[in-house]
Amino acid sequence: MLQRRSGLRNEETGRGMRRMLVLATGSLCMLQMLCAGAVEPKEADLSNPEVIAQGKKRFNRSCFYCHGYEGTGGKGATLQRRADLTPQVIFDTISNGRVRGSATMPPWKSTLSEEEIIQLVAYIVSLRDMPEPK
Amino acid sequence: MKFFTATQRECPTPDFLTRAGESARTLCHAGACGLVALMAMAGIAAAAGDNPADWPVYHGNSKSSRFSALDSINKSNVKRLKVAWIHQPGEITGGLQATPIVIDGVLYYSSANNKVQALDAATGKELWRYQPKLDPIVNEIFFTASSRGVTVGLGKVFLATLDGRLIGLDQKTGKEVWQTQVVQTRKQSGNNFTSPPTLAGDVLVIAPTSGDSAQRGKIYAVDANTGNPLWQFDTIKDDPASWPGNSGDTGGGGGWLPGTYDKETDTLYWGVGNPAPDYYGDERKGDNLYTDSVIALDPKTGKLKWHRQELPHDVWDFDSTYETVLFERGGKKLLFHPTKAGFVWVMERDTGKLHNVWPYSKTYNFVKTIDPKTGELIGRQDPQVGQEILICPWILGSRSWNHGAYSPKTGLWYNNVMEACNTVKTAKQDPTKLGPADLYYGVEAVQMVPPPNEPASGRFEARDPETGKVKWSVPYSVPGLGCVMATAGGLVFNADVFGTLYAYDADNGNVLWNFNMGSGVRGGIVSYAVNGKQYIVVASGMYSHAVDFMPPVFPKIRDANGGSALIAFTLE
Repeated sequence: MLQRRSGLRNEETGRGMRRMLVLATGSLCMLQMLCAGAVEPKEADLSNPEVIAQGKKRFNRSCFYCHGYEGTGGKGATLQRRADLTPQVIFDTISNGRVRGSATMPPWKSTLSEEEIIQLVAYIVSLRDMPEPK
Repeated sequence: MKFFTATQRECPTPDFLTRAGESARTLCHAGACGLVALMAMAGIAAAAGDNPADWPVYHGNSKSSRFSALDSINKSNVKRLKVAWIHQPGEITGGLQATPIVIDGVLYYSSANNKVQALDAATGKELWRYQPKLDPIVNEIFFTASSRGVTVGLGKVFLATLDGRLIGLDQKTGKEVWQTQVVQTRKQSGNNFTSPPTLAGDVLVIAPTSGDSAQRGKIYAVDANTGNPLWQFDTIKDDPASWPGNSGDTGGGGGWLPGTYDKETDTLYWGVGNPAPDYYGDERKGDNLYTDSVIALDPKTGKLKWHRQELPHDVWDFDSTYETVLFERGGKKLLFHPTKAGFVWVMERDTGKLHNVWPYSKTYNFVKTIDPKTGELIGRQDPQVGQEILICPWILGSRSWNHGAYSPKTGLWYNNVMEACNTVKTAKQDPTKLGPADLYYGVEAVQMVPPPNEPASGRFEARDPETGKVKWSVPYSVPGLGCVMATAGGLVFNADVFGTLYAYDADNGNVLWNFNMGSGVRGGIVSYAVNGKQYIVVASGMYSHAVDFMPPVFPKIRDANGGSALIAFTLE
């Protein structure tokens, strides 16, 4: 139990405050990491052809039914030509799933590893270069 | 044979009496109620035990025909239909997929995530509600939110949950009476329940989502009064010739949707799901019984009376889980069974003997044909590893699970149809690496495409269910995904995905009335009477995963709005 002693009050209070600040900051960071999937996709992975190829394979096996072959389908918008989707947003959405109005997407973090999700992110980012359909 | 409760027998000024005249009025005053008299006069004999004022079971009656014997709403007055009440359960996730049950003036239904409501069927006023606490696993699995309804009987309301339980509620209060964990959704690849159970006497029977999952699908029965487990039927036959090695352990099967209980013969008919992995058959070389079969079970023991496998060694994801409809032709007691594959199998009810097989798909190519006398698949096209193959119909089938309706008055079957295909490159998939969100399809790539040489299309049509002869057909720009209802009033009700509800002339397909509900239909349309007044109730609320599959070939479906509202109509 902390006891206050008049001679040491300010120093102890200061140390205590700093401790609390470190704790609070650490907790916030932890919370943010948990909420954001704890991983930020690296640029090197996103442009790695092998990573993209693995992502394409998985996408066309596990994502095609709701998102269409090569990302053309889905009740929501196409995943092609989506410069608005940042890698972090894609990673978080795949990890945590999404419910929007009537449509549902399950969270994939208990099905896929982080590495596998990053592969998917890399593939979806690569779809930015798909030409407009004729 | 009791037809009406005391409340209904009062029938003060039922609409039909103005048409039926004095004889019916006399009968009503005598307490027998004119509806019975009218039906007898019209020659529409209600099946034994069916009360036309109720919608007591999922498919409307003991024949599973989604036919209402009520006729006070009919061709001459349907234009006067107006909204009587609306009930909104409050969650639009997953759409509103239920077919309500109505018994003695009380309506029971489930909405997203297994919320159950009981309403006064005349006013829509909520009498009670029940929400099970679902295991959070239900948010991680693929088959989420969907709830096709509840089952009512023996003083209880029965619910099959997304986390693998059967629950019995008190019919009057909604309080839980018993619950039983039937499948382990966490452990069994997301295996769960998305449809109501089927009541066969005192036996409650349920089949899980299974065909696209790496597990061994079964059909389960419990004592309806207590929830105590009674029996299990393994849809994966224990036979190495049918399932070599361990392939049966991840063979899928199961049953998805409700069965049909025939009280006359104490027989439970069920359509079994497809084998898994859906498109990759190399490691399950055999006929894969009892997948893609109609099975007839003894409900007390679960023993097999007979089975007829429609698609041996299915490699196209053509589960045979759709409705089994009982009907009669030429003095024969038959059943017809429409399937995802785009064919209808017609069999003798007592033996499963094949009576006919006919296609309702116009663009199928997974087989060249099916022999109508033997059921043999002729010229089958199986996916090959490393090669791309075109398969028609596509992964959603020639129709999704949304049930058709059969009218004994017209002798016609009314059904939504779609024509679309997909290319498939099959590949081995490791079943040990599947998480709760994954499906066991066994593919390298699938692309949804129109049929060769024509656009993808939808239609709503009327056919003779015995022969397949078309009576009439109406095009739909996006195929209908809702269940159909036919009535003795000469009407057929169907809705599109955008929210327009149509009342068709059952004889010729003319639109006699329509109404814009704002969101399309995925669930059921039912009819019932309270105090002699007929109501039509529609589950408006468009969504299911089928909607996600469709945009590559039906892009307009992206414009279909979600919703969740039970809308009741009656005459002014």
